[in-house]
This record gives sequence, C-alpha cells and structure tokens, in this order.
Amino acid sequence: MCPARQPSSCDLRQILAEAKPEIDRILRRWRISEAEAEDLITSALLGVSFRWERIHDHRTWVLRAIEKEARGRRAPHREEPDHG
Amino acid sequence: MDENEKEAPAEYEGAIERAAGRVGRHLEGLLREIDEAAARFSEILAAGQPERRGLVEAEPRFHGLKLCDLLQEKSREAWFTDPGGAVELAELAVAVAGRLDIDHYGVGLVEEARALAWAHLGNASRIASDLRRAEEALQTAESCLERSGGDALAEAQILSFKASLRNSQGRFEEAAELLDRALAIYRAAKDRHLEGKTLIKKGMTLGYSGRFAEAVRLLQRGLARIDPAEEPRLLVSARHNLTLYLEESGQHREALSALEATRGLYLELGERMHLVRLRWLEGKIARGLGRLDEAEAALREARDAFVERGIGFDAALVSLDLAMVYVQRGETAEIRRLAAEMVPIFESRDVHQEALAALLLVRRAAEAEEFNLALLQRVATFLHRARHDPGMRFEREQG
Repeated sequence: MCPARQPSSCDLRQILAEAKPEIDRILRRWRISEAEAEDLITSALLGVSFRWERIHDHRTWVLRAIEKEARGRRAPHREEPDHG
Repeated sequence: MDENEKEAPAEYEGAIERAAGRVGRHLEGLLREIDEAAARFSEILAAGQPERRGLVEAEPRFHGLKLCDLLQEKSREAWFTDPGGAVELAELAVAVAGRLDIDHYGVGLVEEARALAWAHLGNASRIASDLRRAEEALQTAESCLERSGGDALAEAQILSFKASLRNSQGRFEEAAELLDRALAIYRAAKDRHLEGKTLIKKGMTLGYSGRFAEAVRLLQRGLARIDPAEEPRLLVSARHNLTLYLEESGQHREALSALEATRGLYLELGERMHLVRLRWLEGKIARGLGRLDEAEAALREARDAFVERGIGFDAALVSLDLAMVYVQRGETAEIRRLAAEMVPIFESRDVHQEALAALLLVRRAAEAEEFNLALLQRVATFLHRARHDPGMRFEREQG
C-alpha cells in the first residue's frame, strides 16, 4: 500500500499524543522555554508534513527533529544537556 | 538545579496544543499544493519538450515544493524505461528547486529540495552513462544538503546515489563504505524497507567485486527486510542476483532452488529483459549441474535475445557461458564457430575496446585449439568487472 501523500491533523495529533513524554523530556533536558517549544514543535510538524511520503517512522523523525533543533538552540551556550 | 533549569516548564502541554493548531492551518495549503502539483505536471508534459524548461523557469505557478517532489518521483519511474526522459525530469526538478520561495518554505526545506533534485539529476545522469555530469550533480547535492541543515534521510538518499556512481566507476570499496553510512541512517530512522534495500545494494556491490559468499549473506538479510509490495522490481532483481551469486560460488543446487522460488515473480512482472536474464540464469545453473543440452538451449536463446537488442556486453558474457558448454563437451568445431561469430557482432556494439581485445584472444585461442575453461573463466571474470570499471585493462600475459 502506498503511504498517504500528506498527514491529516489527526495523524499529527496522534504523533504528539504518543510522543508527549519524550517531547517533554527533550525540551526539559535542553531547558527550552514554553514559547520556544511552540516554535520548535511547529517546525518539526511542518517538516514531517512536507516529507510525509519519504518518512517511514514519523514519530521517530519528529522526535529527532525536535532534539536536533533544541540542541542547535542551546549549543552556543552549553555543549551538554542536563540528564535526568 | 541551576538557574536556567528553573525556566524550563515541567510539561509542555500548552506549547504542544498551540503547535498542533498552527500546523493544522497549514495542512490545507499543503493539500492544495499536492493537488496543484499533479495539474502542473500535466501542463509541463503537454508543452513541447523544448519549451518545458523555459515554461517552468518563467512561470511562478510552477515554483512549488510538491511539484519538485513529483518531478523527482517521475524521474525515478523513468530510470529503467527511459533514461533520457529521467534526466530531463530531474533537470526540471532542479529548475523548480532553484526557484522555491525561501520566505514561504524556510531555508531548510528549500535547500533540501535542491539537494534531492540535484541528487536525482546525478543518478539519472549515471544511468544515462554520463558519469562526469553525475559526479558534478552529486557534489552540488552535497553542498545544498549542508546548507539545509542536513536531514538524515535526505543524506542517506544522496549516499545511496553516490554509491551507485562509485559502482559504475568500479570503486566498489568506496561504494560499500557509503552504503554502510546510509544503512546506519535507515536503522536509526527505523525504516526497515530502506535498510533492506540498502543491504541488497551492498550485496550487489560485493557481488560486482567477486565476493559472492558475502554478497549472498547480505542479499538474504536484505530480502528479509524489504516490503515486496512496495517495490516488486527490487524483489525480482535481488532474488535474481542471489541466485546468480549462489551459482557463481558453486552452490548449483541452492541456486536451482532459489531460481524455482523466483520463477513466478519473473513471470508476474512480465518484463521481457527479466525473462531473458531468467533464461541466462537457467542455462548457467544447468551447466553447473552438468545438464549440458538444457544449458545450451537456454544460453542460445538468451544470447540471441541480447544480440537482437544490441546489448553487447551481456551477449558476450552469455557467449562465453555457451563456449564453456562446448568445452565441457569437447566440441572444438562448435567453439571455433562460436568464437568466429562473436567478434564481428561485438565490434559494432557497446563492448569497449579492452573487452573486444579479450574476445579476440578467445577467437585466436579457438583457432589454435588452445582453448580451455580457465581461459574462458578469466575472460568472463574480466568482462564482469570491466562492465563496472571503464578504465579496466585486460591482462593478456596472465596464464
């Protein structure tokens, strides 16, 4: 079966619901503020939407995109995140 | 707890909810763009070939990310049937990608679209035998990818195309290293199908360099991972090469079982050249099992089909397999006749000069009745390697 060419709002909300604990953990680890978090999650969701057909595991892609962007925002200030 | 950590909320419920709402509003636009891409593509096809490029460059309605994706998809579909068309479609994708609005899509998506469009042009150029242009296009793709921020899946796609180019250049070790990097990306992305496809590609890379036992293992691992429904052609090609490498490594009975398990797929796919290659493989396996009459019939049929279509390299290789049947039977007159037939056919085909020199050696040996299986094997091995290595030279002095 061919993958759908684009996600529905429902698909994206499902990804967010399933990945919420991990998203919280990533954002907290990199000390992302609430306002930054909104931009960062929006950017990851738009990214996955435009690449939808090419991505097999959308949830993993979204988490990696959020982590990469969060790391990028904090990198000039501090190399390593807080763990825990 | 340090000062900064106090700023991070314990939960991001509100941010997640607002982000979902914002993206939801964008989805309608994305759906519209997908629908429009199909219509724009039909418009491009309706224009005459010389006008297409100018049309795409001049009219802003063609400057959409989804049209760029669609042009790449159509280029991929043309790889096996129309290499020239695949190049043209990839060129149009490059033209569209170069005109995408960064303010609308953001620099990351635009540079990634450019990277993938150039990568498709690189791969299509390789298939159309323009290796220099392929190299240049893939270098441009890598530069664009760097500027995009480097999405891992786009990187893996470019690595895979680059590996195909290295295979075409006979640089098998480099190709295998590039495929290892792509494999790591697909594993991390949990994309089992693309991981399987890349394992198959690496298996074929090792097969090109004569490492048949390793090739068989990789092909088996790859076949266990791919989704056959997604790419039936990949399934047939992987199983064909698995059978071939089993045969080449002397496992004739296993090769026969693998072939029997795949026969239905060849027929289902129904592509004429796949069926010719099936006959070739049947002939090789029959020869390995000592069924020489069966081998001769299958190999003759395959050779005639390749000659008829002007596919010189494969015709030369099948002829060598056929010559081995005659050597096993001790039919020297047949060998002389076959060797005499080979050279004039290949002089006018796509066989390069060194391959022709190897075939001339076979003819001279046949005339002098100094013909043996070892010589034929040596020439066959050379031709297999030379197909993927245009610079390869035939060592005439080796015994």
